[in-house]
Amino acid sequence: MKGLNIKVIIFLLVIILMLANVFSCGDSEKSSTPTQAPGIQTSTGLTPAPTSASTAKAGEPQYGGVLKIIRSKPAANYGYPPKSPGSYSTARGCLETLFYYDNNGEPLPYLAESWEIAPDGKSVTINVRKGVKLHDGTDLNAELVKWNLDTYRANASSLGEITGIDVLDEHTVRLNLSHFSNVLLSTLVFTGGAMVSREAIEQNGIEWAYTNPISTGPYKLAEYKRDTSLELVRFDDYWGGKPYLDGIKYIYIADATTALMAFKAGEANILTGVSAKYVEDLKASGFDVRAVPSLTTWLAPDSANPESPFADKRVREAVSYAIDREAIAEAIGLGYLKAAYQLTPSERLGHNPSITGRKYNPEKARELLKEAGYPNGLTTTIWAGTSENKDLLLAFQRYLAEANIDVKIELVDPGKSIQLRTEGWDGLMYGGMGCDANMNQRLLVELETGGTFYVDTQRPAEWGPAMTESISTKTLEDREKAIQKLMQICYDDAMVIPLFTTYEIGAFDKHVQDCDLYKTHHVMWNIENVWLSP
Amino acid sequence: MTTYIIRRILQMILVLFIVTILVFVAMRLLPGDPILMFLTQENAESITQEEIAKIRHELGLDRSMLVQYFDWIGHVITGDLGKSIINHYDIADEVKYRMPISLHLGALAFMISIIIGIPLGVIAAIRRATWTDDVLTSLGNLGITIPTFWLGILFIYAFGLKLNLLPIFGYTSPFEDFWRNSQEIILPVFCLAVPAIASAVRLTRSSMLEVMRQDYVRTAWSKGLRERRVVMKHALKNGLIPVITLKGISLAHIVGGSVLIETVFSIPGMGRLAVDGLFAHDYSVVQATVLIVAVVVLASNMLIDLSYGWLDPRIRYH
Repeated sequence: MKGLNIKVIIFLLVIILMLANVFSCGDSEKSSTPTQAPGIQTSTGLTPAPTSASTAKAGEPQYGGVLKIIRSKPAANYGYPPKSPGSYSTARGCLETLFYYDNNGEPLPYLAESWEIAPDGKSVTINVRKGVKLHDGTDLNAELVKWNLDTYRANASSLGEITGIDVLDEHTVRLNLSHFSNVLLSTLVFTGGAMVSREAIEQNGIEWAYTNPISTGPYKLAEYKRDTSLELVRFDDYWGGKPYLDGIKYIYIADATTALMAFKAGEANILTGVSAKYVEDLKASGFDVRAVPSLTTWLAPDSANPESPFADKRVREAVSYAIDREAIAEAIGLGYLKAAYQLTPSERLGHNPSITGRKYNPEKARELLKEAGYPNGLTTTIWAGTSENKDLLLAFQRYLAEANIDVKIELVDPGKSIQLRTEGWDGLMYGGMGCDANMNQRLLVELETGGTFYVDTQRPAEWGPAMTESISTKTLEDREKAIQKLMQICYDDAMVIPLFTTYEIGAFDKHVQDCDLYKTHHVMWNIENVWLSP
Repeated sequence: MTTYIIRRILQMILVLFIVTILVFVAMRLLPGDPILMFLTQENAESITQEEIAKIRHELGLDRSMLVQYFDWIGHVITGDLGKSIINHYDIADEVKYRMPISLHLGALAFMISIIIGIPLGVIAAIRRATWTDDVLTSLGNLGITIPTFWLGILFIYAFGLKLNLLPIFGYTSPFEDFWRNSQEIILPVFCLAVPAIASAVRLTRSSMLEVMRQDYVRTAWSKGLRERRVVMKHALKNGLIPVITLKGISLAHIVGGSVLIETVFSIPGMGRLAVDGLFAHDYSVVQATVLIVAVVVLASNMLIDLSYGWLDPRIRYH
């Protein structure tokens, strides 16, 4: 036995020595700061002329470095056509669209240098930017724009208002429309307006294009490791001038705690999708934490069903009065949940300040139920996705119980949730919609009269015409008024019961400069202008 | 022996056939439509019924279940595991990429659990009711009960964030950067190995205690043999039978990957592939991963059964 013990001790010593060797040999990869100092470039594009690292004055843009961004999960599709804002956010380094937009959803020039809407609203003429090269060396021109838009139209249900596309000259296209829709231009800011290489797609197929974005962006695809990372490298022929960064690396970490620790350990420059519970810790550690409105959540009643108690407006109002949104937001939201009484948050165009909201009043809720013929209250179900915040759902349950509404909570997986929203449900559906800069875009997707989603929620008669009016407005002022009108209709009818504005939170280290991500939007951002300070 | 092996292989084929039917039907019984889930990832644009029908047709999901099943089986037999509905990737390629990662981590943890767990179990048994036994038994209980994901986070905090000794996440191929890989796998392998070591210690100890009371062991002692010879030559082989059974079952975990550890350490292994596929209702991904795990479980079970004959010569195969 003595011999055995000596062998065990020797074995353990060898293991310890091996581990010590590993520790001493390695130096963990940290987030990059500029290392490369190329010569001074003259830019005529979007970006101002930067200086090299060696000659840079404090605050002046510098070349070099790899921007590292932690995301929770990889995009299913980061090429063409992008299927979601998540994938589009990732793809933005490579993929560029015809338009950019401001905080109000107003289109700004991008690959479209300028555009003109015909006075009768039946066409939009777009002047395509000249001298733009794609990653494969082909040129951006009117023919390519037409091919891209036609391909997208053939594969997606949006852009339906386009009846045809005419190439007027090498850099001018005209979109012929059945009717004008301001959602059209917003769509061209995102998915529909992405310009990719026809040659590459025809050679490799559309499936290849899902994960190979060959576009005009400041960065091009270098390597993708599924569930691990996506690496982009600088595209030196970028039309807007040489991008500042050597590259961008998306790091995928599914576990939020691991992601937080990796970010704090300096493994990345930007942490996306931060949980509100980590914000104080990040701020205390000196990180820049930003938040933008992400979702308006609601309870959608099955009011289209005449047998449902929610077919009666008073019952819907009772639910709204029964929930103390402010108290819940304060207790659970940690400052990143805001009570909502309408679908448009105060940060977005179309917020209606005249709507004061059905603030917490359980007595009034009980009274309304009594008037509606439910003196002893009623029993219903709240359907919610399994990923929803359970504390919120329990809070709703408790508040509704105070108003004599006995609620059963049913948690369903994403598949079932979509099935219910598209086929119908019994009771209340907990859901919401994105807070896009142009709110018409999301209203049209989620709550269009006769639309795909929330089929069991009755839209009031005036909702459909008001939405048609809203999407056909051409000026900012008109759009604002039209969305405000929609908000009023929704509120007056208690069509859905708005609950909260949720916020998307991001954290940035001190090296990230001139980055507008999470300033106005968590998907759109000026990736070409971002640089890293030492 | 040959007849036995042939019979077992035929049984394996039958079981695999049943597994394919079960997983195929079970996936389709899950609530939710994968096409809708695919089209409405995050905030997709508006969808028309025509678009849904078009994609359903493209993926062949509008055909009868029987046709879909035989189409899938036909492809599987030729080595084509199909394509992911959600991510469009070739599943066979994805398995080729992920399987070595799960095997690497799992096999290391497996070997460590045997190298450390079995000797410690033997020591605990032969030093029964001493402080050595008490310490090893307590550590064994701790190792079994400790949640691995919590252990992972604790290690990341200590060794990654605070001490800055080891990488917090990721997996680099050892052929690409051996030292980086060595650093990256230490924590996940340790986390995977802890419960395996603990269960090996516990089972080996109890099994050895049982064997050490047998007449033939007492005879060996009475012959005046040295402790090492009694334990290694006479007791250990018989004592290992239940341990081998346990380890054989855990082979499936190596292939299937550990979703918790892979998630905590952000490692692209088989566990995450299967679970992500399940959550996304990605039929082909789940069917393929379940099938692969089933093949490995059946094959390892057969090998275990064959190993009993070597461990205990009294066992005969008919």
